[in-house]
Amino acid sequence: MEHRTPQDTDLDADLDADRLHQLLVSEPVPVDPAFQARVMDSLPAVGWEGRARRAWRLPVAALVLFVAGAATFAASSGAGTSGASLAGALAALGQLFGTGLLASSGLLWASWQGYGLLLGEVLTVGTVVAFGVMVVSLYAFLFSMISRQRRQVREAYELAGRVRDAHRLDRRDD
Amino acid sequence: MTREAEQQPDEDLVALVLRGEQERFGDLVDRYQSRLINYLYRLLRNVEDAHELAQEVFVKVYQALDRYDPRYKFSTWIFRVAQNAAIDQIRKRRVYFLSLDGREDRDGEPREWELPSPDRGPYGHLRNTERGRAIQGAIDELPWEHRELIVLRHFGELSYDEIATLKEMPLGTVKNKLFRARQMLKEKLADFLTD
Repeated sequence: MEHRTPQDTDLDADLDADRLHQLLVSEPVPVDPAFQARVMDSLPAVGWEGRARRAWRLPVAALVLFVAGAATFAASSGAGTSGASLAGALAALGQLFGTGLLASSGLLWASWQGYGLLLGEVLTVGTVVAFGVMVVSLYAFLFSMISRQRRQVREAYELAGRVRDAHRLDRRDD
Repeated sequence: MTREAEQQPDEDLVALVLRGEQERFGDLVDRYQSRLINYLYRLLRNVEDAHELAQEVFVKVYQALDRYDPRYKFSTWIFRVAQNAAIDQIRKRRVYFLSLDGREDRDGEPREWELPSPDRGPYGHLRNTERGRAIQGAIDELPWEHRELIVLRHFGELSYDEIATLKEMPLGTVKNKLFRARQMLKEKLADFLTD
């Protein structure tokens, strides 16, 4: 009998596997030439694209252009007027904006000061400690209620298991 | 794909796409389209379905590209997405029907029948060769798990390690099952192997 070494057997096995592989892939499916283009055209806009550095090029360029334009505008408009009057106009605009914010929120600075005085009267060391105790005890109460419910559910499952096992034993006895 | 792109690892191409060079995703498509379409064809047995599903897979991969973990191989990831998509597609094709006399199979389950998917269209004629039919028939007759491994190895061109990672199976088990699957295929395709 021809003596075959383990390496011979392995080699034959490899050749066999290789021949099988060649047979299996002998009828490949040709890829549609337009497939790649179709995939690229169908790619949707995705969230991570916004984080890509290149995605910010246009907005940054637009911002730079805006700032350059604003600077040019300020420089050319400031040429015929004094710098102080321009600064004064900008300060007035800022004040108008701030006042408008406060007015639209319904509160004036005086009201905030009033609240501050009231809190100063109420908030002593004793009241703060008492408030803390109230909060902690409320959480403890809620936690104990939730734990109690979970314990009841667990006990119900265990009971159901014991009843089920008892039924099985009964049936085996039949 | 440019020569430079051919040499770049998948992970580098992914990084470039995430940095904003969307066109580099086309290089990844070019690299994997043939393997993916052939892999899907062997499971779905329809060329158009394989192309359509491959396109869906690439879109899904693109959408999730920022979640790709470069510690793992890109090939394993894309084929996992493809595998899940193929299984979903196959499940959709399954038709469950109840016989009129209410008889079910031995396990008490309604009988199921997978809708055949005749391969029509411009590539249909290529599938009509005797050898092609024999190959596909032999693959179809394999048990599902063996069929998956054969298709991943020979058409998806994944390595044993990649298959083991994808299937979450020990390497030894993958090799054993592949060996067994090849033995079954050799028996069925013996006439063509002796040519």
